[in-house]
Amino acid sequence: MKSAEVMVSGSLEIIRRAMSRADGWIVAVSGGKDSTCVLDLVRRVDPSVRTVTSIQEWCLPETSEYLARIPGLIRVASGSDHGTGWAPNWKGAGDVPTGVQWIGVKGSVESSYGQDSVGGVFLGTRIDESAARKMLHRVRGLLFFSAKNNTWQCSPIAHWSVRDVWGYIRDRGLDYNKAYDRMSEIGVQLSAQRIGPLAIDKVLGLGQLAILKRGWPELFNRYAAEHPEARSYV
Amino acid sequence: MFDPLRITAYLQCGVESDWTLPIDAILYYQAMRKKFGAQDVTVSGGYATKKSLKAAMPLRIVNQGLDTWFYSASFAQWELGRVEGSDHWNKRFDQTLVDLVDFSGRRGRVVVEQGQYRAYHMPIFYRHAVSVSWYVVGDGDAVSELLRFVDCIGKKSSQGWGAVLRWNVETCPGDWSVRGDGGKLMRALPADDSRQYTSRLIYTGFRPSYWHRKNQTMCEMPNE
Repeated sequence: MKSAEVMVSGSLEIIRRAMSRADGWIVAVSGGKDSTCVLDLVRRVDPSVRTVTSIQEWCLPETSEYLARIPGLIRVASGSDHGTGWAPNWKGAGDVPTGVQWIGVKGSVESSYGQDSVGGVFLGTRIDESAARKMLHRVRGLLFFSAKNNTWQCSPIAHWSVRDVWGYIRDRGLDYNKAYDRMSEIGVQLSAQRIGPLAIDKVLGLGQLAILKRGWPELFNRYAAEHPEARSYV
Repeated sequence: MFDPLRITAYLQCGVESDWTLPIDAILYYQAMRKKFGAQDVTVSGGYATKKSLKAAMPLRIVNQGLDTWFYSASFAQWELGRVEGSDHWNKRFDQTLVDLVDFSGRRGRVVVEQGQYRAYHMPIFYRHAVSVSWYVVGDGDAVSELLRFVDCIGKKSSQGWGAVLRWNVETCPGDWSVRGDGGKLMRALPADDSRQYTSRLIYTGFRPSYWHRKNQTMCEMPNE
């Protein structure tokens, strides 16, 4: 068996174990490559699993297009400013588009989405993304119960590298967010290609907005017109 | 007397900027510096003068009297042999010097996640070519005078990016500042509400300061 096959079968096994621990699992989808990969892995085990995304007021057009292509995706929204202090998301329940569930100002998919019916959340987090994630999975493993969120959490691809993720997407012929093609086109390294809210405080120092300005100049202009602080990070 | 001009910068190294790199922004900056004069006094954390100054530019103004006025100056015309690349600049507090920090006698930690010592690993995107040109309609002598003091263009010039070896300002047989050969668009052109456009309009700046919201609107843009 090839190492990639071992890795995939290991992840599938973790997903099976997770599902045997609790009912009502969901897959948290951001629109990025990691959640694309996790979604496919989970659906190989249970095609009926629910998928949830937290939509953003500001996001890349390719992300919106990609999320629209995922069947049965449940959309929720929060007012989280992702630690920036200057880039609030939706202001309140009345502000979000029709059909989107409001989960509170500081809500997250893991903590707030229909708590009664969610037994666990599959996430696409990986240890090579940050020291904090490395520490979390080293201490708590890939499957653990989060007392804070009162749900199980499972990161089946925590030990995968960015190349493993792209290898899986290619081998399985999965649809993916085309924003990655644009990032490759402008010369952003694979490890620095991120999808998510346009401004997250923890990654502003890694050039998140500089990449936006280079790859999506018009979107950046609109965003900076609304949030002038954005120009401090390019 | 305004003439059609071709301005060429001969580059020593890559330029860190948007591909548009408008020459009117470069000239505007120099004109403002000239207007402000020598900086003979500084104020800690502020500006020595709060006067709002306007600098006369040696360029023809298009749409004079309208909100959408702009200078008759093209975006940068890069040579075909240009290259593009990306690099990074980094900022990280040197932890070996932590004993020099005054924590006022208490235990402390230098926070690199936020604040003054926040660590950065920021990408920069650059272009390089032997030369880059612009087309303007303006006063050649005045333009040359302003460009005398421009020894670098784009961002991160303090780190050596965008060094200019020399400038050349010459008269041009035709006005290519707004529309070039074959009607090719040479700069952002504010959209005319009464016109139907086949190409997609872009929200962008159309006059200096290009980053400022008041100078941005829906524009027809040339291809990169």
